[in-house]
Amino acid sequence: MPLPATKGDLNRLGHRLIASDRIVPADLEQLAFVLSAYQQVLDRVKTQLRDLGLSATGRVKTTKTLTDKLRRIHGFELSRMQDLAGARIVVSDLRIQNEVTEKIREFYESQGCACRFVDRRADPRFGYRAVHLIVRVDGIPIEIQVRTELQDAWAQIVERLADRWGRGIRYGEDPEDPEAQVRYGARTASRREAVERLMELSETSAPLEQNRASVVSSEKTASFVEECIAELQSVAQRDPELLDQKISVRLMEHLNALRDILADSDEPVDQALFAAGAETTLAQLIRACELAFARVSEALTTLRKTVEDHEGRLRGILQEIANARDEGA
Amino acid sequence: MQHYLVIYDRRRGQIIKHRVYPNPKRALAARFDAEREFRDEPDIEVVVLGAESWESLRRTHSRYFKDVRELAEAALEREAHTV
Repeated sequence: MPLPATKGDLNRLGHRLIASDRIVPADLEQLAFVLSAYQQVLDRVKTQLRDLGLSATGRVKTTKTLTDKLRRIHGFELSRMQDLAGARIVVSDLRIQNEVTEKIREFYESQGCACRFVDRRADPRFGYRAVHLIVRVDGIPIEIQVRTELQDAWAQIVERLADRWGRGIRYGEDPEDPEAQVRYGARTASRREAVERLMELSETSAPLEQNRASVVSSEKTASFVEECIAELQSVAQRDPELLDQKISVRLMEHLNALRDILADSDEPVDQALFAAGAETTLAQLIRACELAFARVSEALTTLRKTVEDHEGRLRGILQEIANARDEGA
Repeated sequence: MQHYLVIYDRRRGQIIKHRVYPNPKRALAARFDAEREFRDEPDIEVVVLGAESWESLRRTHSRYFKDVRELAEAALEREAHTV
């Protein structure tokens, strides 16, 4: 169902909706008609996501959040609102988030639908991190939010707090009654400081998730290099004379695969090790692999230590939030 | 796909009413009725959420179901199981 209103109709409706506190019945009726079209397209998108194996929930913006947004952003037009209808998917981690995002993008592009990618991980909005895909189906934009568990936990905590401390905290504003005290066990802090602590939570989550993803990818690299070493050593063991000979075509493929994988990884690799190409002897190739393995392992140890540090900080802040008592409530 | 009308009290942090509608148009009509009913109560949020099940909503919209302490504890619990 295409949108049953022109851009101009929508914008005029938006202006009327915020012109007074009471919305007249005719405008409510028109809004219901417009939102019904958004709902239908949203439901279709959710079904398509389900067919892609993705479990999504969705909502059409409430009249209050819709009018709040029109009032908050001066000059903002209803026809430009991209999150009037939105679907949400929560996945375990950053790696799955990237896979799911790509899957959705590929699907909608293959259907000829415009698809805009907004990476709020690279560009967080007041601490909010997620990936948003805005797909345009039948001319109606649907915002698909893809969040990791950690990104979602942060967003839910802030939303819930915003219910009591004012929705402005979602947009970088002070909480209501900003000096009211929040008790953390023996010590207290102001609401304003508590909100700042939430920003720290977001800033800690971001590198933690990134480093966790890097650990998984480095572990795969290390495991591949280890397998290469085992295979090359077994070739050398069967025929030690091969050690000083140039590598075979089959092992050359090994070398190329190894070089590609290491080039894609974040690990520092001396590409000169591979520069000899077909002139490389089996002994040199084994040595190159052993060096690469040592480097990847060393980098992994550092990464794991960084992850542990971030996890410690994250748990500390979460524990603090779990123990907090809002004295101003 | 079900459509859940949820009426939520933000200050109290409680769902005060919810009802499931298999038909999205009916859910939307019920939403507008409820918005009219609660129009003088700014802390009441009226929303229609679409999901496969109520359980799916608990996962993606947990702020309607848990307070800040419970949300933080749930995140800690998940962290404890993250390898």
